[in-house]
Amino acid sequence: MDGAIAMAALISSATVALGQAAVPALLPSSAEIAGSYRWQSGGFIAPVSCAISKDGVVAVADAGGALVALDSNDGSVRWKLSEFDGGPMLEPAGVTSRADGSFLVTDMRRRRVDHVSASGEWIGRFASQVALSEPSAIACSTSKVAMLDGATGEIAICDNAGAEIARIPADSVKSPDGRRLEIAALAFIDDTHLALAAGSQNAVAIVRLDPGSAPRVEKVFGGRGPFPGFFNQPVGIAAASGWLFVADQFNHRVARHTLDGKGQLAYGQHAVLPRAGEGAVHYPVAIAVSPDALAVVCEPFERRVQAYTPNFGAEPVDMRLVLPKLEGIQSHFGASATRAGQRLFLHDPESASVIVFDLSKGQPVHVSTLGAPGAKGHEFGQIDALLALDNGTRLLVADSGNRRLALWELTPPPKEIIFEPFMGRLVKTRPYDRLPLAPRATIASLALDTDGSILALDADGPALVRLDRSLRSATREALVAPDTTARAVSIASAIDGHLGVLFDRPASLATFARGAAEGAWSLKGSRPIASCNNARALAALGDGAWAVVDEWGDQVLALSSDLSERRLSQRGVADGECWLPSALAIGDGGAIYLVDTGNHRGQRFDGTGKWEMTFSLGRTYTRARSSDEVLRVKRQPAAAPQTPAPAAGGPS
Amino acid sequence: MISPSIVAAIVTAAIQNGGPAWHSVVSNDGSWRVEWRLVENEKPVDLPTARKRFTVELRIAPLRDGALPVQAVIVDAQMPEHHHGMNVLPSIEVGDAGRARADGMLFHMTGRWEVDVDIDDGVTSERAQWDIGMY
Repeated sequence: MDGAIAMAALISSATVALGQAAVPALLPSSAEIAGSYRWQSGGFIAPVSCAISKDGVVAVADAGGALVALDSNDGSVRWKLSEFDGGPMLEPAGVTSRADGSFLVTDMRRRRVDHVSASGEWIGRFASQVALSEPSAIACSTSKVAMLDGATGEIAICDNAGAEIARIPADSVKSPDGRRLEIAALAFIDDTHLALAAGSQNAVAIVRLDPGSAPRVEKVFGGRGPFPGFFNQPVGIAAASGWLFVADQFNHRVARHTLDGKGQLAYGQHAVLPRAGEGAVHYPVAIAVSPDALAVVCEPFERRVQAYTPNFGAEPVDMRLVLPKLEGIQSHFGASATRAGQRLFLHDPESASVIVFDLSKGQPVHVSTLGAPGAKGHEFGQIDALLALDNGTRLLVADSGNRRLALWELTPPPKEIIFEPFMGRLVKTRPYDRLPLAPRATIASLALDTDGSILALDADGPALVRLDRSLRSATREALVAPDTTARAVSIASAIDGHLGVLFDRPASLATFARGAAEGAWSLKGSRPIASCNNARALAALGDGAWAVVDEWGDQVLALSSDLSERRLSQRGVADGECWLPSALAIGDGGAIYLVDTGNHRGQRFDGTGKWEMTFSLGRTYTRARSSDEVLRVKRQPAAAPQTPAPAAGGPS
Repeated sequence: MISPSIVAAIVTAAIQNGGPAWHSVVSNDGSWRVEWRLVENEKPVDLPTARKRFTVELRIAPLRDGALPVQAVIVDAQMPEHHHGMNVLPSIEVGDAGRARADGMLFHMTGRWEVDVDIDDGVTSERAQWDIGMY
């Protein structure tokens, strides 16, 4: 039985264990042509990069703070490394295997690259003399190591000893229309060719590295779309046996390309039910392929990696276009939410659009969609934050893909709730380059100050940019942040004028008050949030309380002014539970609208944390469903217990 | 239903004796008055001919005190109902005193077209827009 048939047989009867429930596995798409499923390994926090050694060790960089080695035969854990050289791993971002079977791993927050043996022992720092602010992606060839600096966008090329021999400037790799490519991943094709994946621009670039001359871009290909040769957020790349393999995140597939950019085959199929796997791919962000035909894909959305056997010999003539089955997909809500008046705004990263809900009838009703993917003024790249203004008739969008703020205007709500596709129009934009931000800084969060001005969080500072409502004036205001390795990720204004600033890992909440001098903020207090794994979003509740979204902990925490913490949800797929929640907005009466990203839905809780409803595009319901109902698992009813016959003379 | 911007354009034209004339809109945040007219074969026209190149001429004037001069203008058009724009890139020239023109515009099908003019003064880029009904 060949691998493909074995795969089909396996899939047809397989189920994926998930707690007490079971997920029917889906048939893979072209997996039987391009690559067949081998195994999956779960239990990660956020697997973001992987590498395969010559000895059959699969190393996975888990951004939660570990380097995990798996057996390439079955995915079982061989070893796990979470600290070395006197400190913990903080945010591993990239891993690559060397010719001797050892690994190099980057850590963006420790700001270093380390050398780890094939058996998991720390060997030493690598390239410590190379200037890298936030080393992220990394790749090896026979004589070179390429390392991406996530902060500057530069790529340092080193020799095997870690000495820098060349540097690719951030602005030297451009798309055919002249836009700078924001590189997310890299892979060596051979010793002189480096492949780069640019997620935001949906492009792959091939750079030639010749001794004694500056790196030269040989080719850029791609474009946004679902068809072969196109991408939707390609953020992982590998090269093997004369092919390029791209982790095409929002197309939910691994795409195989020729070295000159012709899209050919894909494996994996968009998972359409939560947690579906065993061949079904969901938001792949990294890939490694070994010459002896093993492909490993990282899916942080599902907290797992999957392994395939790529069929290097498959011919493009066999290519079948397989589009995802849409049943069950209602929404792909991203990490932003805002409300004003009776309007709630969320965004969909896969279609690069903003979704408008009307709340006036007591449940969120989808009434319009704004924008589309692209670079024109009325189009969006990557949306990071939203801020509803003026009773929901204006909306400010922070778009790091196009590096600008975009202000939209919407018609006032009509008396009758109808879907109005042309409700919104672009008012104006202001580029980030015309704001008091560092050259590559982005805006992570938006809030409305009590004086009506707009506050934008520069996470790199952290600092604030204060804008007037016309976006004409912009001033930078410093925040004297607590001493932490954590990043500021979200801000919110409380009614009393205090500003809350949320830090991700270790999670903490700092509160600031306006100082006497204009533009000055003074730290009023900082509290750790011990039960929070990765703080993602903040909202102000009444009475000095705050709500915090814990993305990795799958929970919403209510922080009271008396320092107590209350958990409002838990990990799962049933209504009232969540998976990788990412944003929230507070409604009238303290209701919490939670973006449950990992379950592709929104949920509303009352102020006490009681689940009230689940909503998405075109549907809302108030009868809570169990995990089995959500996952459409049908179980055989248990045999009814025998009812004993009533005793003679007893009650009848 | 005819959109308000079309009505405004028709009224403006009528005031000026009905012929092909300069129309007027205010940008979406009230910072600019944009007068525009369509030119085809070097003659002003009410409507462009479908699938034929034409020009949009612009006169842009500030409506707020202390306005900065216009630094750049982008002229584009889209069909919102159909989720697409033009199949061509117009050539845009910005002259003195807020004058600009976009040559090489092309409406390749009939229906409602929305013309978008983004006016960049070096701080923000503010949009003016109007509809042209190609029915």
